[in-house]
Amino acid sequence: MIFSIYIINKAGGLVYNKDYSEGLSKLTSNEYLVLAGTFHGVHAITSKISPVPGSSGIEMLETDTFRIHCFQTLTGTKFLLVADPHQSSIDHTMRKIYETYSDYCVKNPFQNPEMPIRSEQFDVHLLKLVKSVGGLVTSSSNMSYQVNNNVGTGSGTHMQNQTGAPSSLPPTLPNIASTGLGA
Amino acid sequence: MSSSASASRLSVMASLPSVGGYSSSTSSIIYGKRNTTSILERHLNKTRGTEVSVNAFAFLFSEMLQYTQKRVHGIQDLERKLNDLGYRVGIRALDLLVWRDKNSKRETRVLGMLYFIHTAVWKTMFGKQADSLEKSTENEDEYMISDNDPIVSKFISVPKDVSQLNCGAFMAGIVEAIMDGCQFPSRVTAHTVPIDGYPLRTTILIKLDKEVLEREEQLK
Repeated sequence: MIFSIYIINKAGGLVYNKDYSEGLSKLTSNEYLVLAGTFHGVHAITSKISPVPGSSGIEMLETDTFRIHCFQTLTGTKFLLVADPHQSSIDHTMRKIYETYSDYCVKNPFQNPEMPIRSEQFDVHLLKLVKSVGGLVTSSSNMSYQVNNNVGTGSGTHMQNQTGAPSSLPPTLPNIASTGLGA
Repeated sequence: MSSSASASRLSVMASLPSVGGYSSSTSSIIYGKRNTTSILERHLNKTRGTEVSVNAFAFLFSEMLQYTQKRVHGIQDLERKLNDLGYRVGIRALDLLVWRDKNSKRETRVLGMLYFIHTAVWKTMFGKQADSLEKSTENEDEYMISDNDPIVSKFISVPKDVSQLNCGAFMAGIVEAIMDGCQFPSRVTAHTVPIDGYPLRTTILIKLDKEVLEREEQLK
């Protein structure tokens, strides 16, 4: 399952975000921006604190219920893929996302680099890609509700504390940031 | 006093061409050293059948559009400019096509001409035939060539605020140049006509001039 795809420009601004699983609790638009900015910062820090010189920075962040994969292009654009821990061939999917991006965003004359992505064809082809790698969950399947509950806690360790309302507990930023630094 | 001034001006002017001559001779030496021939000196048949990367073309076309967009007022103006750019391509493409085809004959009838564009021209320019060639049922002088998946707008998503724009205007320009070059003057425009499964389908509308229809009448 693929939950979301984010694209962060080289300055740390969020230029694209899309959620693919219905039933997940949504972040507010401001929270999306903060998430992108924070991840950008964490990525920079992790590449600096690595004992091996020339390290690339954080590539994957793992919790019990989801993984965030990060792929940085040579130009500094970052692709974030929030997926199920069991989702296979992430590398291939990431490459394909990059390919779709370079086809329908970079070659689109109406798309300014580093600006929020508004490209109809990009949306269409990305959805097609997510479907083709089996990353899509529709609201009709039972799995999505289970996913909703799990991801709603932010990480699996707080399972016990969860009450009824999933919307009250979205995957919050402090959790993600601290997990990233500790990893 | 005045005569010496004019003489000095003359000498300056006389020295100018020699400067130009000198620089051109150095550039030819550079060419010789690198052992490259200019594209104009290569044999035209050498590149026959070779293909250009779609991506390279997409980047070029994207830059053409961005360049043009900065220098126009309004969408109509942009389409006209794209049409002009296509015209410049079309007129050269026709020359090359006719020169390369040893058995080519001159088309005199409208249908033969349109069929030539539909098959031969489309095949050389886009590597496939156009998807349909139709005659308008409403107007006697209108014909339509449709491409289900035009290469020029393959990677382009037109934003909502300029939704009337069709980048196929470039293709329309090519067609217009070829029609003109074969003595079938006409007005050619591009329209987006999406159908199921082909959201980018573009129809090239060819409106023939009156004189062409009159000539066609005589040839019957």
